[in-house]
Amino acid sequence: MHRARWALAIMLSLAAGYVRAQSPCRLTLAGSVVETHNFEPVYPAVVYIDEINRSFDADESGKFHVDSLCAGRYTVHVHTAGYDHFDVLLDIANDTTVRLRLAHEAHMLSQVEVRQERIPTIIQSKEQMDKTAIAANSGKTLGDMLQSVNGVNAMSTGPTIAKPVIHGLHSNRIVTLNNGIRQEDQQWGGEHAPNIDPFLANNITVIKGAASVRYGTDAIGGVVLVEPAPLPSKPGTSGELNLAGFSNNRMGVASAMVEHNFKNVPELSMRLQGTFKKGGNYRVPGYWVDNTGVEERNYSAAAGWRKPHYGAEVFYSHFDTELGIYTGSHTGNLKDLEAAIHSSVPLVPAGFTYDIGRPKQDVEHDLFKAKLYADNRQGVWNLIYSYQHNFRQEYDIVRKDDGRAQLNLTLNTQTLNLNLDHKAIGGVKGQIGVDGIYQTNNFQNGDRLFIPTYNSLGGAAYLIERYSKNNWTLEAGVRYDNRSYEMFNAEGPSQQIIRYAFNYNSASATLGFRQQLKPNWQWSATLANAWRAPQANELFSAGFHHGAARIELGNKNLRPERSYNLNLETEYTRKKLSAEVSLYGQYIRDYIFLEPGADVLTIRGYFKTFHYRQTNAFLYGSDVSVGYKWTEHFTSTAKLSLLRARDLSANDWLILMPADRASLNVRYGFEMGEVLQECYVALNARYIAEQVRIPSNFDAIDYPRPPAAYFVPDAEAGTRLLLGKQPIYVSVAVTNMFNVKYRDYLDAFRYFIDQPGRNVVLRLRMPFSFIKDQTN
Amino acid sequence: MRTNIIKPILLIAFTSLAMSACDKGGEPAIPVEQELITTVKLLITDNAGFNKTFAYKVENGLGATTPGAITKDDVLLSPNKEYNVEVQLWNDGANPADNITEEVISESNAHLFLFESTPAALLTFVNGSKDAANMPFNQRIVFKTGEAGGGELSVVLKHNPTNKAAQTTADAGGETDVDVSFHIKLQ
Repeated sequence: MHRARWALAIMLSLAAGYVRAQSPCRLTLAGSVVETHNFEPVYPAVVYIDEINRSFDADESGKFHVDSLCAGRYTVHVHTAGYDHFDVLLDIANDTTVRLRLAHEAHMLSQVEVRQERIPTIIQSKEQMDKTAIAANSGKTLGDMLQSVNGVNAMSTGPTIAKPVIHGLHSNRIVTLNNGIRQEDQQWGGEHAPNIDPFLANNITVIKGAASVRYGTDAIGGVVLVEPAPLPSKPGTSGELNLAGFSNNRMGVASAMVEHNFKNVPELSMRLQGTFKKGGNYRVPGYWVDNTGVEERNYSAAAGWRKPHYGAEVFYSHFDTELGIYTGSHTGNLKDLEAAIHSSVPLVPAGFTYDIGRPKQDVEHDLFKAKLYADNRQGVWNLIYSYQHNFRQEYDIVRKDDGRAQLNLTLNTQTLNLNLDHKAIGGVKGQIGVDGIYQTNNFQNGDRLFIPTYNSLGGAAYLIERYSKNNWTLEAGVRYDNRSYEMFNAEGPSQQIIRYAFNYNSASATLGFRQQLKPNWQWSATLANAWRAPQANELFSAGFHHGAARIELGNKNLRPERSYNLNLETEYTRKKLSAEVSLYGQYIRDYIFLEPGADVLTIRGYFKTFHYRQTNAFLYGSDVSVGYKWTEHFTSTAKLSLLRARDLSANDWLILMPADRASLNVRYGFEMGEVLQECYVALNARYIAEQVRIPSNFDAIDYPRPPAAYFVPDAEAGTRLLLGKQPIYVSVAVTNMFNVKYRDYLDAFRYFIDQPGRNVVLRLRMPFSFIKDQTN
Repeated sequence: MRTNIIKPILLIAFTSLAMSACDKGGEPAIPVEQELITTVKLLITDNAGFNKTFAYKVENGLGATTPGAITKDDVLLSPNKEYNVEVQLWNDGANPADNITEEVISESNAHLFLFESTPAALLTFVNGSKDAANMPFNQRIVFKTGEAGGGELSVVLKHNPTNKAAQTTADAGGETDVDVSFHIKLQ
């Protein structure tokens, strides 16, 4: 074992923490993780404190912040990929600032200087949800959870299906990375939510705006990064238990995680995690909603082998969900749809049940990932292989229920990524890599028509370089992609299979600039260019959507979309005030959207038809967030998100874009002795304006008009209960506390049914640890 | 020593990329429109030996990229008489044509046929057949014709109607499986 040799020299500088009379558990620890020689921030880095069992992510400038500490001695660890384990004991009596300087032993410097030069996420407008924010939303779906990020909305199909909308763009225009792997799970339909268990995440980052260069084509709208915590590096067992109960649909959620690092084989760590969720029909003010239950069973396993200069990781996750779809949304034709819209009560009466009937979805998603990494003279090499299997079954209402699903779709994806984070060459450092993807999409014989069978092969190469000087950083990246599709479409009365071949090649680029004007004031600008090839559903869909009584018709002549995106952002903090303002504008050439055509008469009566068409679009807007700390206990945060979306060719508004919204959060934090710590009560109010910026032909396309503006207040209270040495986080939240009736424009059920009524949520989180304190 | 790690990584990279590229999918599947109905037939008889079938047919039903051609017969009956009517549903897209009627009859308590004429005086509908729970099903029904004249006859099939005793489609709720309209002449 060369552990000792490789142990990092610890240098700790305690900057003068200003001494102030304070209650014992209101201390803060602020710090930064830096490289010892040049004081450059180390990123990403996770700071973990044993005594409170909590981890904190350092930001890109290496900074982290810990609130509400009691006076005492703390063991602080730093986890960073590529560095060996680092820990230090801190005696905290006052508000404290530390600089954790990570370095290598002197005699090693004569040899190759080894450093993990992991390039942080590109310079771009982004927002993070840390462990605390994720835990405060536990039990929700990923799409629902992300609504707390300013500029992100949820496009939903009732309360069980939600997908993120970033700056007005969603579905195929958002790339989701699950543990570093691009999630490939048939997200082409509005009612197809991302198949990810949020309990996997230790950190969720939303990148707003086009970010194709690092994350691949399609990321015109943005990227969602769902990242688990690093595997443990201290011998012993630890873990966490999460429980949540929701009153509205009587839903229970349980999730547990156990991780272990072997004492005798310290290179080896592993983690097991599982989640179970079951909910019944939910309730809107006055009514139960028929067939809206959910059941979810997820598990994952991870193992890592970590040596100082190389290592390997494997990860496997299984996601399985069964979702009921509100029966009243399954309409036969235009007349049925209108009847459902005009009815003042839900057309299908219901009581409470956990049973899920037709129509329903049953989706499984498996992800396997293997990663090898090593460093040498050039830098750090990463090789990542992934295999994803997505199996989606949709059960329609049928006359003869033989138990079969009417759609059985299989999407298999393999990807390979080779990436080098290279060392600085003349002050310029960056990453270079290649990506490969192979994908097959199939349905079963006898399924109803949805999208055709296809095979797709893609390859890409990218380069991102970054140069920092004084207080500014300049970043530039380019990427070139090739993607080919071979599609098999059954056509004509005899359903003859016609083969189509499509090949798309294109480059994307990004240019970012960030400047630290003052220690507490920075701004950045990003100019990004991205593209997206038309998807199989946009090219070939030829089916009808029961929920909307519409027939959607693909268009084989669609060209790829191309986006030009400018983002400006500034961040300012003073003692009590923190503010963040971002402005964005995005021009999308050949933006693909659905245009209404003539009504079609079928044997079931009339249906609306919609054709995929292209236009030039311009989306622009602003996200503003202002926080103020009124007193030591009392804080408030106000957020505002504005979006304008224009169809330039028609000189009109684009349809189905999020309305302007504002929210206000006030929070009062306090301590109640040794047992009840970190207590808080919070009020949160959301105001969502009516969307009045709609296309002039709206009434012909999408009756009725967008719902009225609404205002919904929520409340929350929580504490950290300390039973002996065991902390338990308990919170109670009440959403829609006044049982307000309202509908949301981005909810596909807005035609039929109100948003859920009052929901009381009880959450319990218990981190546990059997790691012996080894510090001396 | 360190570069030795890199070489196998590169080797694995390109081998697996090559392997994945060779893994081709099987034969493409053929989609089938589920529970397709292409044709509604009215089998109309009376006690005096009248026996005719009138059909409403959509060439390729639903789900095809192009709407199919619609052919329909004009229903020609005599005024002030009573006719026995049986509704049949067919899928002519299948070979041989598939009679869906039996399937609907076997699920009669989840289905309801509804008839409406414009003007309303043209036809009245009596003695509809019942389901197992003795609620209206109307797959067999009697048309009483009014005075000579012409108009429209609509035939609707509802699946899972919320009101099984409904007289009109608006009151029935549920999901529409069939909604067709015949020209009718009484002369």
